[in-house]
Amino acid sequence: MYLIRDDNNVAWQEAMHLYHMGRYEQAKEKFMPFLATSQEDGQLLFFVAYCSFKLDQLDEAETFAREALRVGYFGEEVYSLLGIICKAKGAYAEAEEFFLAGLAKNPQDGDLLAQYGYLMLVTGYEEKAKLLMAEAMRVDPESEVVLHYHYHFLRAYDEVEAQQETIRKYNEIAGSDVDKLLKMGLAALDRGNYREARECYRQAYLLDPGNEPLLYAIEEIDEIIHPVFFPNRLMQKTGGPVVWWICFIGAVFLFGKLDWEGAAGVLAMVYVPFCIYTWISPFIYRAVRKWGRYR
Amino acid sequence: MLNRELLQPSLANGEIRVTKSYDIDRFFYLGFFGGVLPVMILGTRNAIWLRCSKKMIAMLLGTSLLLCGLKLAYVAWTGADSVALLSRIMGVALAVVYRYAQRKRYKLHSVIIGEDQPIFWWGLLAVVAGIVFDSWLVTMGKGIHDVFDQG
Repeated sequence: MYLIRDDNNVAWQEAMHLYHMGRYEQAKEKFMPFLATSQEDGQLLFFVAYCSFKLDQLDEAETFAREALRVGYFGEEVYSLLGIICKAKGAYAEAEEFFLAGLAKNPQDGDLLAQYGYLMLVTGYEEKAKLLMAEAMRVDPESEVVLHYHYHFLRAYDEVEAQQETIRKYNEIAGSDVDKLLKMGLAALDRGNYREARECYRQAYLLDPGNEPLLYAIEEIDEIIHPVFFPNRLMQKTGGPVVWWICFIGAVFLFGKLDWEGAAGVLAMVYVPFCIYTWISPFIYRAVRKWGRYR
Repeated sequence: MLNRELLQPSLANGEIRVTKSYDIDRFFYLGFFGGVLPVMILGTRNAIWLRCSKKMIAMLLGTSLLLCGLKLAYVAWTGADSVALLSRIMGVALAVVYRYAQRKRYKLHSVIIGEDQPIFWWGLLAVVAGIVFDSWLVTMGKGIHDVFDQG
């Protein structure tokens, strides 16, 4: 089917609506027929590239974004997208080139400043990263992209209270329900509330069923909250293996002093198998998954 | 006003130092099975990967060497045949110190990279080295003890 891009075209309106809602799999499907007739439409190429990027199809995203530049679409958002694609692929120097090319066009672009700042953080230029992020927050504190990176900065430096404020602001302005749910899920993960995180991701996946990375995230959470790992969670919640070991050694010494050898023996018979179980639980989990007993 | 210096490229000719890290909770097992040495070796390697300050790395190494010295002094003083328990206690204590010292950098790494390096094989090798090192330390300590004992 060949379609002509037109703001009054229902199919185009539908594609844009899905795009703004963050349903990238469906949006991309709707955009593709337009590409057949408008192969030189830079903005359309950008939309398709962005959808591909969000769906973790990095090579395809890069191809469409470079094509957008080739046909003369030099919007800052294309440089921004190419920058984050190159960063995701580990081509950091090339990512910097794209961010700087975008910033050369508009040095006051908060989104690009935040993205470039995050690249600097990843590559070890932390002072520069902080200055760029502060500048991004100064020029555009209401931008969804700036708040997204600001939130990750705060997570990286473990500033918990400021994170909550940033999430609140982000949720006020974010257009996509999927992105909002992802942020809420991430915040729940940071708090160690895996069930709440899973619920957020599940709802996000229902809104965007083609989002494979989201599915992997849900599977990873399912692994963490699986009953097989209950002893591991118990140990972590109560201070981790170090605390358990210190308590065990302390109790054995105490029982020894009190001549309670029997109690020390019982404690060792409980503690040692418990520890061994926490070490081998990943293998048990794989076996359980393989046999499908606890599906 | 934006500092134009910020828009100068850093990566084209500069160094790219992306962090790497082991799961720092695993240091406990290194200390438990291998004593001080494996924690010192892999913990220090991790601190360098995480871009910890030189001062912190020097302090961690200093603490590790101090514990090794204390262990040697203990054997030299008592003439003990084994340091298995002492070694484990010191190893776990050192693992706690390394973990505490690197926790903020590890958090940063977890957020920006989100992936840990596998520790099993290097850990196994380091634990074996730790056990060999402890045997050597006991032999040396007993030698010193005997010299002073006879003297």
